[in-house]
Amino acid sequence: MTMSKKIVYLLMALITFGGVISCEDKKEILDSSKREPEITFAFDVMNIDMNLIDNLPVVAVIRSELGLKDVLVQIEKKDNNIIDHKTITEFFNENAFSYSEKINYSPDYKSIIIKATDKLNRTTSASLPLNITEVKEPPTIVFNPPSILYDEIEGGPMPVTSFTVQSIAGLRSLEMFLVAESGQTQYGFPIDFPNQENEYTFSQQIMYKEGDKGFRVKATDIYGQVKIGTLPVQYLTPTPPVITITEDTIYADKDQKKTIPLEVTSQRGIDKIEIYRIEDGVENLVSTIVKEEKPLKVNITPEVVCTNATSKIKIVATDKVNKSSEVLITTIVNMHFIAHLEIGSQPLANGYNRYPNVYPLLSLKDFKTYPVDYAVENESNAANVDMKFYAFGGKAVLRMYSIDGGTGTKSNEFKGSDGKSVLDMPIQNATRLLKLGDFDFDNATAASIERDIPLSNIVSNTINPFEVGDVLAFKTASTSTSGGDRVGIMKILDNKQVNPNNVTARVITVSIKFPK
Amino acid sequence: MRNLKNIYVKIGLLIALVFLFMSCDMPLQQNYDYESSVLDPHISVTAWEYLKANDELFSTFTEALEYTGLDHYYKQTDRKYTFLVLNNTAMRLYMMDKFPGINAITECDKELVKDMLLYHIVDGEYSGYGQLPVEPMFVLTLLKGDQGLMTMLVRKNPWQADAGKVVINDSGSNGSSPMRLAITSNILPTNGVIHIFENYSYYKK
Repeated sequence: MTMSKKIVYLLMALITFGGVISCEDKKEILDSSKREPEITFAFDVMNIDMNLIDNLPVVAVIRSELGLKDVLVQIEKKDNNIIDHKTITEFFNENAFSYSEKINYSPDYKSIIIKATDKLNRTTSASLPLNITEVKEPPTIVFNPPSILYDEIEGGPMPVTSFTVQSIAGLRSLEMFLVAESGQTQYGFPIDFPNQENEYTFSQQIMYKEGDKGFRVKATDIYGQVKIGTLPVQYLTPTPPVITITEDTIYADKDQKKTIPLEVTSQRGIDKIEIYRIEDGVENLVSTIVKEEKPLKVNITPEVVCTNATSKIKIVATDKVNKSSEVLITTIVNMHFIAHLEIGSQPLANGYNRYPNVYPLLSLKDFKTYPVDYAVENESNAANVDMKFYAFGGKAVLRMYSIDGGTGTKSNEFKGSDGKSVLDMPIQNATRLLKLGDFDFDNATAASIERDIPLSNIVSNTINPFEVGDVLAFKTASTSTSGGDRVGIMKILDNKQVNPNNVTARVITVSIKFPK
Repeated sequence: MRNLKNIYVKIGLLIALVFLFMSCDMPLQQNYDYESSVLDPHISVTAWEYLKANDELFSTFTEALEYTGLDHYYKQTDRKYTFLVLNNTAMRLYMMDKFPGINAITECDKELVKDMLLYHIVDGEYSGYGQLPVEPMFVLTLLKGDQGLMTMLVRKNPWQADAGKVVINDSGSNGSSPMRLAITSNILPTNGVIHIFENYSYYKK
């Protein structure tokens, strides 16, 4: 190899080496004069309350002039053990990193430690002390005694209601309720605890009464944790007196003195028995029977004068602790009365085998219904029926007609045998009718009927329509076997269809009061 | 003579190779048609000087800063802060909410006004130029304690109407704190960053 060749190859090697070196990346220049990482927490001390669900996150801003390499988050426990929580190595802005995290705290955590290392491996550490409030149990309520039993028969003072409420966290409010069969009512006023007391004691004699079932306490602590405790209360009371009567309806003539057999029993002893006469809705005391010896049972037969205005007799029995019970006896004075009477409509004119003994022609004298064949048979029979019940059309509108009136009162549709109808009755009573508005049938008396229903107002031979609940007044015809110009009332109690194939085949149930 | 000619040829090739390697020092071309850039957001004045130069917009705010003695943060140049500046509309809203019936900021409770203003100064520089992410991040305001908690982000999605805007307390990122959008963002004075708002911010748990 010549000298010149050697020179050329040496130059080539040098230039090639120099070229390769020139292609290398420039190295990052790390200036050690720049400040080490700085760690700033948002709080000086982190207060954590584990009873709350909205604790704040740990917030820290870590700055590094040189750029962060990694950030290590550690948790220091109360036993001084330190555990690594997480390491962050990727940063959006390596010069300023914001760390925030809602940590799942434990009661034994002492502090959060952050160690930040920059690109020169210089590490700065900062610690955030934790002040952790542990989970606190809800309040407790202890009743002493744990239940209250009071027996009226045994008597004695009512036991004192006493309870203690304790709260580790501190009380915020307390409410008390009296629980009875009828519901729950607040007892006293709600109590607030501005000083968050840990204990509250209540002791008071509450005079429970019949129907009370318990005493309820609702305690709320400062975290809103609620504890409800109920003191069971049993208030035993003997049953009130029991009155037994032999008849629930008394029939009497005007001013007749009637004997009312009574048996009264009581577990505590009978103090008195009062007898009232209800006249025109007013209770009038008739007599008071006082039993000084307070017997447990009495059988008496008091006598009561039944006036024309008497609708009911009321018996009130009271025991020695002032508990009472009462019974009402319906009184029919100087009236004919029937509580339930069935009347059929025109399809039942001569009877209906699937609903026997019910007909459309009503006899006020007999309080009984009759078929057309009975009415057309002779004059005395004809005079013995006073009105007829009719159901009209597809809607079965209820109507009441007098016997007279011919086809105008549908007499031709009440058919008997042999082609006869009501039109063929030898006597057709001209009973007159009136529908009464808002009339108290149940308390109506002979006196109130005579006083409140003027004879002159009852002039129609038709009531169209009437419904269940209506009260109808009637005035008898001069030809009626029940006597002429007598006024009575009838209350419609029920209405039913008795033939499924005929909507007008109906039976109504009525009650009738007919002064003598 | 022939040898000498070969040497010249080889030396020429070597020089060409050297130039080839030297070309490695040139930066790689980033794109082909257009290299984007933004207008320089830097203003060669302090935040305070900027506010005073636009006094018709920030007169109540600067008055409040002087009233509470916090104007020095805006005047100093030793440390960088992010200044969340409230224009007169925002200050009027604040006074109506917190001090109804009072017309002058200097008649309002000084400590309350001070706390509000401290909440609007963030330690450090947070502009949209690579310093704020698109997800909310907590920053440290000068108001201490939980009432000082604040998050910031910058909208970057070009399809969003508010792209480019700085957002304070994005919904759900900081308790129940109301979200605020800057009406002007990323003004860079000599002592930090300015974002301008038309409503005041506050922390709500």
